[in-house]
Amino acid sequence: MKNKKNILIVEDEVMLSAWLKMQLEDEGYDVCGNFTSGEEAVEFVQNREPDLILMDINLVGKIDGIEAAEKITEKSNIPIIFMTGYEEPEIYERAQRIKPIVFLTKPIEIWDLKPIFESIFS
Amino acid sequence: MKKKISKLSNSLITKFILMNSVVFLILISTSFMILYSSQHIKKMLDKTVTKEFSIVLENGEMSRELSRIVSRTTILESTFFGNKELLKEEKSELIKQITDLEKETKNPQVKINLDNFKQKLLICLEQYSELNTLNYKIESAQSQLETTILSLEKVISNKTIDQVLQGENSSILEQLSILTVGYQETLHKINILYTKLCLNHFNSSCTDYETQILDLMDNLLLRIRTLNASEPEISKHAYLIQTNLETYQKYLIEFTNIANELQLQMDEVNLEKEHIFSLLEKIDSEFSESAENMRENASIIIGRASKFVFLLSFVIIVLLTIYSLKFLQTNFVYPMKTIIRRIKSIGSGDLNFKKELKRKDEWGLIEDAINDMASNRKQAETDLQAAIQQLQANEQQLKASNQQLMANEEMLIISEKKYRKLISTSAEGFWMIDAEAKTIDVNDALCKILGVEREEIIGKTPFDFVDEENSKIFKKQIFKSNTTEQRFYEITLKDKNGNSIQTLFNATSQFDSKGNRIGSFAFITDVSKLKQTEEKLKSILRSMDDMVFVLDKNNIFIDVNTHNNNNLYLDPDNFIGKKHSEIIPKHIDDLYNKAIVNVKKGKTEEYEYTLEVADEIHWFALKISPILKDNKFDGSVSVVRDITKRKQIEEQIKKDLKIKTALIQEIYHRTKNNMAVITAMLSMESRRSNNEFVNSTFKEVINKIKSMALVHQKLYKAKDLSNINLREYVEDLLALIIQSYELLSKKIHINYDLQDINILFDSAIPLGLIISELISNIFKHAFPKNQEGEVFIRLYIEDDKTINLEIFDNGVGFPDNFDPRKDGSMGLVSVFSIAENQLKGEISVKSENGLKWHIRIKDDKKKERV
Repeated sequence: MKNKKNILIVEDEVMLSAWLKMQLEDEGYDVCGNFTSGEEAVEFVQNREPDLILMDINLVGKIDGIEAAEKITEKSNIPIIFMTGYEEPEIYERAQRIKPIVFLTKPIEIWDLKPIFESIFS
Repeated sequence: MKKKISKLSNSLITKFILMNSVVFLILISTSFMILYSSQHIKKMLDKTVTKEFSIVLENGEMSRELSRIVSRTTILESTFFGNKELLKEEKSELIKQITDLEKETKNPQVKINLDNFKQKLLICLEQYSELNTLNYKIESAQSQLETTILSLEKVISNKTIDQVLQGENSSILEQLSILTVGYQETLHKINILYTKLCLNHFNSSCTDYETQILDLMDNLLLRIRTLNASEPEISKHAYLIQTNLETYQKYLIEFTNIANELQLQMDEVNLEKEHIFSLLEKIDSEFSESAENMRENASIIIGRASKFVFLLSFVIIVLLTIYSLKFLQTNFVYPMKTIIRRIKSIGSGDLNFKKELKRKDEWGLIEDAINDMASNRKQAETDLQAAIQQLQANEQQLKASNQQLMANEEMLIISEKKYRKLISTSAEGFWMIDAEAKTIDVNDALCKILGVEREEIIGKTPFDFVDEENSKIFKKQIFKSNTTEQRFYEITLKDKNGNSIQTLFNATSQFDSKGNRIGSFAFITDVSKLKQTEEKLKSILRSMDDMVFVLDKNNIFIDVNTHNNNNLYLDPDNFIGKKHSEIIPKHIDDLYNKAIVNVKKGKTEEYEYTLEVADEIHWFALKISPILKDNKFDGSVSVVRDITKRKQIEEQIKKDLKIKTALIQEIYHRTKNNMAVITAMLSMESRRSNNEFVNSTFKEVINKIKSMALVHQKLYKAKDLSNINLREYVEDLLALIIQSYELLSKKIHINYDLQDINILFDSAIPLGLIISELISNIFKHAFPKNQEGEVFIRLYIEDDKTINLEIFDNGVGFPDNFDPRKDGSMGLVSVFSIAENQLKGEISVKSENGLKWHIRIKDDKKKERV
């Protein structure tokens, strides 16, 4: 029996988040959480550590995805994949400060994620 | 002072004293040289003799010291044996003496020989010491042997007595006692031979004695071995005797070896002594020879020096004699003869200047005095003749002046006629007045300006033709001018009918030779029309918002025109007469200097600048043009406009544009996101059905939405918000479609040939729908049963801006008699509709070895948004 990897999705668009969850589960991953705000994601990680986080930058709440990722990486080494539709250099530079990191531009398809997941989990 | 010195140096007496001084100095130098030579020879001889004697003395001293050392060495050879203390003392004393001698001697060879002698002597002394040590050891061995034999004898005696007392047979012990006596005898013989060896070891070889002693020892050892079989106490003694004998034997061999070596070493020491002595003898003889050579050399040098001094003295005396004769000839005999000859020639009437001596001394002064005398006489004669000739010339000049005066009068009449003609035909008015300002002459042009006849002006003053204000100007110009320079001033004359005529006067005052005014004349130009034009221009300038600055060719402000002085950096009066760089801030002056280079070439230049005016920063635009005079640069006109408001509006527009651009980008972004949400929803919905047709339809719809979302994504990144790069769009769209048909795409290979073409998004979205439909069809229908296939996509633009899209595949093509416009699916029919109706383009398809689609559109249906 294959040991399923736990993925946390943080995305403000609920439909996109649901679609992503469905596709990840089809590929054999377990989506352990599905949040629209950074605060919720930070709190979740304090109690349970997922194997990987898919983090949108623009989120509901007071902190954005980069700030949420900063708080999470202060206490753990969970790999984080940023997803954003904005391509401003400032956002990219801010996101680059957090490691390990992969930076993906929306729209994101499952075939974009598959090789990255394989690389991380290998 | 300088002149005095020069005179003194040229004097005969000075020369005479100088000559005697030279002679005296030469004699003193010669005497000093002779004295110096004799002293030098003396020193050289002293030095040589002293050196020779010191060497001989040193050799003698060294020989004596060396003899003492040799004697001491010889004595030590005889006395060292058995005398350790003496050997030690003598050794240190000898070495010290030799070392001191080495230090004292200066001859390097002697030093080397002494060192060799010392080294060899040191070896000998070491061997002496070793012999003494061995002798001590041998004597100890002798003593132990004697003691042991005596002890043995005692043991045997005691045992014999015991056996006799006990009544036992003591014959064997008695025989042993006899043998012991024999041992003692042999030992004594050995000791005697050793003593002899010691006494003779300096004179002959020790080998004979050594052989005898060793033979006796061997014999004794042989005999003693017989005791080994006896009682233990006796055999123990026998063993001790054997051991002592062997030690004795070993020491003796060492002793004789060293003694033999000592013999050889002593021979070498003696040989070294001989070398030193022979070297000293050799040095003595060499120095004797050297002293003899020195004596001979000294006598040769003294002889040569004497000859040289004699020869030098002779040469000096001869040279002095020649110089004295020459001096007398030059300074006395020749000048005296020359002066006598000159006096005689003057007496006979030869008054020409002759400078034969060319001297500056007393003879030169006498010759100059004689020449002055002759020339004075000659000058007096010449002056007399010249006065007569001048008188004759003056008479002729008087006649010529008379003739010139007559000619001038004729010229004056001709000139008067020319002047009259010039004045009368001039277009400018001419007005001549006398000292009281009464008119004495005018021309027709002036009469025409004033509208009167000539006779009506003559005798009247110019003040009669002007009003009171202009009369004041006239009077000031006519009576207060003290120069003959031209003056320009404007006057408004009144004509016959009282009309004002604006004129420009070019007047010149006239004065007599004493500076009294005798009148003046002026040329008058009617500038009424010119003034009207100037007024018009000024009113135009006043009506302009712009400021106008006029600068001369030296960059000096000569005129400023502005309707509103509030815009000015300085008051207008402060500009006039000032240089541009003096009053304009540097950053603007730099721009001006850069522009004026081209303005001087006849070009018009423009630049903008900021300037603080009334505590506010203002923007100005300046246009500068050249003023040309005879096609040459003569100044510039700068028209300056305050563009502050325009700049503020521009800034606001830029700001607004930035905000709007951001908003539009946000709209594109949100549209794209919304489409992504829709595709996500459709994708999730499609999963609820297992019907292949339903899923396929969902997929097509999703792909079409994605193709539209992709356009918005491209627009979000695009710089001008309305155009996207079609090549990039097609590539990304195809990648998206291929991924959605993941399994099929592995067997279908797509080839691209795409040009970079920018296209409005109004055309991009429908074109994307067409591509999406056609490529989806290829994946679905062109290669059934998992066949492999090739697809070619070509995008290019023609010269007339027609965009061409070709999509070919090598699949199965349409079925026979298939008309895609009628029989095709809704998607296929929409492809034709979009291409022809929406894009107003052309679309064609051929079904030959697959399908060949060709779409031609022009991207000019909509105006560009930005």
